[in-house]
Amino acid sequence: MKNIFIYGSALLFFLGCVEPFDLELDKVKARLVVQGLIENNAGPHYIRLTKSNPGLNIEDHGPIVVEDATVIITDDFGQTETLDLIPKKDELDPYDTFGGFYKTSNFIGVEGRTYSIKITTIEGKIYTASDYMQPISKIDSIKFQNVMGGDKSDYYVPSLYFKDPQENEENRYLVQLNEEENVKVGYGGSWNDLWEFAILSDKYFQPGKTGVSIDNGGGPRDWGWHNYMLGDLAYIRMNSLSDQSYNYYKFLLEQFQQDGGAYKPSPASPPTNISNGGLGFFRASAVAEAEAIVGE
Amino acid sequence: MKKILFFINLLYNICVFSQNYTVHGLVTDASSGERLIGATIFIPNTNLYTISNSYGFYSLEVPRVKSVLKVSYLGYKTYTRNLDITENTLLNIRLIEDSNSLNEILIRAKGKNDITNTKPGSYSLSIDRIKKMPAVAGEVDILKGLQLLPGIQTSHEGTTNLSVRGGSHDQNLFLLDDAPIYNPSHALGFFSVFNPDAIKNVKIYKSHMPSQFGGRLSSVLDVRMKEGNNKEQKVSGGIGLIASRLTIEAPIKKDKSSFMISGRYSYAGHTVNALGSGLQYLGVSSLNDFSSKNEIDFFDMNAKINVEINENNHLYFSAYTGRDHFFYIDIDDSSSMDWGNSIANLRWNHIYNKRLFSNSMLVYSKYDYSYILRDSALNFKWSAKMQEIDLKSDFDFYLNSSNHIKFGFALENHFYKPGKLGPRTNESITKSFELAHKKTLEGSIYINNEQKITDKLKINYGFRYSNFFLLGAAIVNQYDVDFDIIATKEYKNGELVQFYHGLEPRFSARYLLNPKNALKVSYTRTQQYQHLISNSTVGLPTDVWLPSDTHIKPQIADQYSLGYYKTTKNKKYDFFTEIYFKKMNNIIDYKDNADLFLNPNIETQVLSGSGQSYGAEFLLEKKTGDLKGWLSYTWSDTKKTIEGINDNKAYPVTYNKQHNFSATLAYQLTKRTTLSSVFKFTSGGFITIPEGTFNYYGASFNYYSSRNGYQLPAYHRIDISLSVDAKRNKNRKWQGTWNYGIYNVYDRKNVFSLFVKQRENLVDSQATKMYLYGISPYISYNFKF
Repeated sequence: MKNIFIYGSALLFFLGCVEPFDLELDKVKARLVVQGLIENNAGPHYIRLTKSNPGLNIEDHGPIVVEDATVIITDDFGQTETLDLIPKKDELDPYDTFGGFYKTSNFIGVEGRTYSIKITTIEGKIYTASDYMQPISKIDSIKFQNVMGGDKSDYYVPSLYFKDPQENEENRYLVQLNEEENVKVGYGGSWNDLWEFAILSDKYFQPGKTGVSIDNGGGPRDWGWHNYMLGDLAYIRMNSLSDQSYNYYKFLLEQFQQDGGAYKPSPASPPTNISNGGLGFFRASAVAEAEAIVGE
Repeated sequence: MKKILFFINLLYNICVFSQNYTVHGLVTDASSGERLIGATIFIPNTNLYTISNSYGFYSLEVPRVKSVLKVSYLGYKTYTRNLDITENTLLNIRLIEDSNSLNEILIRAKGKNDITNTKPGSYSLSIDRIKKMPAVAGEVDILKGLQLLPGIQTSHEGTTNLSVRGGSHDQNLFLLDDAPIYNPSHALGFFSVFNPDAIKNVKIYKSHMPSQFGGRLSSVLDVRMKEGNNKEQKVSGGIGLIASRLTIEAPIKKDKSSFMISGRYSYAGHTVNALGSGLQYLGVSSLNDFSSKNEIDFFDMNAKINVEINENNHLYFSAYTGRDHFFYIDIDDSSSMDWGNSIANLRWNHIYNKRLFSNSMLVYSKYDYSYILRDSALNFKWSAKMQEIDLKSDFDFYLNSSNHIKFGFALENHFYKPGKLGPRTNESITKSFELAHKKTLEGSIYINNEQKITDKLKINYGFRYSNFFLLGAAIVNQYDVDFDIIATKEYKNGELVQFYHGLEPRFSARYLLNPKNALKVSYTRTQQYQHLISNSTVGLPTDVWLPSDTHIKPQIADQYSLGYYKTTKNKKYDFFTEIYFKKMNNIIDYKDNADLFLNPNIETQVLSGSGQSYGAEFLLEKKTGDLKGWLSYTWSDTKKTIEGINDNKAYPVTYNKQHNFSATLAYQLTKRTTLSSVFKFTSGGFITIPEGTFNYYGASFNYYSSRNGYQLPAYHRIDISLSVDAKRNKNRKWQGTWNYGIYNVYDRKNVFSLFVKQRENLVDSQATKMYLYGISPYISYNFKF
């Protein structure tokens, strides 16, 4: 039997489409969220405590803050300090307006030490975490490359040059592109739509290659390129990361890329280092910063 | 005097029952010479019958009296022959096609009667039936057709990842002419690698697994290629918007040897780009972001040569190769994937005597897969490969009319390259890295007997013994509870690293309550030494196949089933219901936040535990009349319990679809027109969804609690198609048929995937669903001459 098949098909397959979906989630109990950073300087270092939000929508006024807990920070050289809550004031200082911030007064951060935090809430629940501050080299220079963008416009991508502080070990970094204090705080407003953190690991880098081009960070509206204009002053801040803090930021950035679910693994909560069901992360990082004019 | 002698002779024959003769031979198609698989050779009004094996061979003990031999096979005229034999006889049978029965929609070829075979849960599909079913883009597909049967479903719409009775899609053994295929999907599962033009027969086993098959827990799909017409040259082909094909078959030496070569090439990406751009130009709003730089193409080629050396020896050489390239921007705009299977198989059929048939073969199979990350800085290619060389031998021994023994052995040599990373250009900052190669040896022997105990009771029993050797060179770590390395051992090349083995008993029984009703029961134990480590909920070609090792033990399953089978008096309806229970051990799943990419210590990212699946299946089929078709319904439940996942509580698998219903119907409107339709309904699968959100440095992030704790909405759709035979011109051999169809008639936007993503305001999250097909009409034209 000879068969010849001809298909004259007019059809709309292969064209995936998306639309919003109404998830009905059960309400569960809120959990404590810890946002903390110890840097390699005299501080002050800031810790923020808030409550998680069951369901998918956060109220306009921001997360519920926790201002009645006791926060103690220690290191493995015997330093210890109980933090003070920053009281709310009228001035538009970011640490006051949004609440939930605690700060140190005398605590000095030094690279190579392990830092620990202990939080006791008013209900008596205790949360602990610790992180090791990895060393960092200073940034030698920043250079800019002019790259063609997707829509035929060109943009500048910064490259960092620095010496690898540990040749035989993997080094990991968190790179921030914004100097301002609001990076430490974070606003919920729509004008801050780029979460300007990027992460780097030198695990797969070729030896000798220390010029690394920097991603512009993650966010739901990530255009994919930086918005430096020729002549702008660009600021870059590198934070050293431990194995666990690198993993944490990696999973946070991956959440921005949730785009189909089917071709990505089963999602899970970012791997926190806060015990007892807490969320968020307590990080200790050494910092290196540099500035350069775009185009030079 | 002569009459008295004849009478005494007759009495003598009736008294001495053990004095039977054996008739044996090959059952083939009269016009093409193709061996026919599963034809029934029987003596009417007795209980004597047998079924032709995968090579068309049969052997039947017949009484010494004059009798009539009949051979029946769906799609062919029943063959009748008067037997007046005085010795063991070689009888080769040629069946003539019956063109009337080709219009039927039935997809199950029957033994003498379906309920009398002792293999519960097995189906034989004929390609012609599948070609009549409505399908997406008019492209019929074997794996899509299988999903309309009870107990078989897919994990996601559009993919061919089959889940059989709660098993994951790596627990199915796909065999193409006895050679294993590791990834049966083209274009991420929109099509399968089985080209219907090159295939002769498809059989699936899901309850009782015959002892000759092993290595996978849930099912065996035995696909047989055509041999090639050994009487005359035939050319067939097709041109389409998505794919084109060409098949050539011809004799090398008439009646003695022939070849078949069949190729298929798809340029689906170009079609999608053109269609998308066209619709975008016309202003179809949902396609505003459509990019027309998709690259989706594949090809596959099947080739076969068979040579009859003499009456008792036949040689076959089969080969298949296929390749896929996939880059679809809407799904992932930064990476593209390439993959392909290749197999080559040399087989030797030998008929020792009237009772003993053997098939020995040398098999080669290769599966390689890679993906390319197009990011300008990283710019790397990741690739992996696995190959095997097997030596297998299967023997069919028809001891007598009550015992049919099968035995054999297999020796498999596997080589794995689990992953390699390489920079694509000099500017790429990635450095080369490769995971250690792995080498394993697997051996198995089996023996099985199908025995008739009484006229009503027939049992099938046997066992399979399999073993597994993991060989060095290798480095094996020992871990403590937190997965920190506490010791390391090095093994030299060829040194034994790990040994596993297992005895897999197989048993089934069929009890005929009366000629039209039967009870069937089965118990099967299977072991699986290869695992698919999948880092996605759907299953991608870049999922890694790994052998068992010191940390990852072989998976084991025990399955029990009990079924009731019935056919009505006028043979109008067939009905069966079957319940099953399957317990699986050493099932693995990845832990939360697993890092599987190029991880040399994958054992630290996966955890193992047990799984359990049970269900009830129903099928009602109408086989005659203007309206024909079947209704299939399965209720099932499948859960895993793994320490370290989901707080050690049982959780459903993603493809745990409780209700699975399909109706496949065909109605003959007039002599030349047939209206057919498919209705499918399944409960939604399960996915992991956030419990809530938290604020971290100004952005909102999701946190999750139970794995697979959220059930998706149900999936359902109706497809219809109308086939119209054009008026036949008596002077020409040309016969044309128009097919008009609509896929997904009421335009239900079934969920393809559901994900939760932060909204642009970085404050709250939004759940979004992605769906694949809305309503899709199609037209196709078939003709033959």
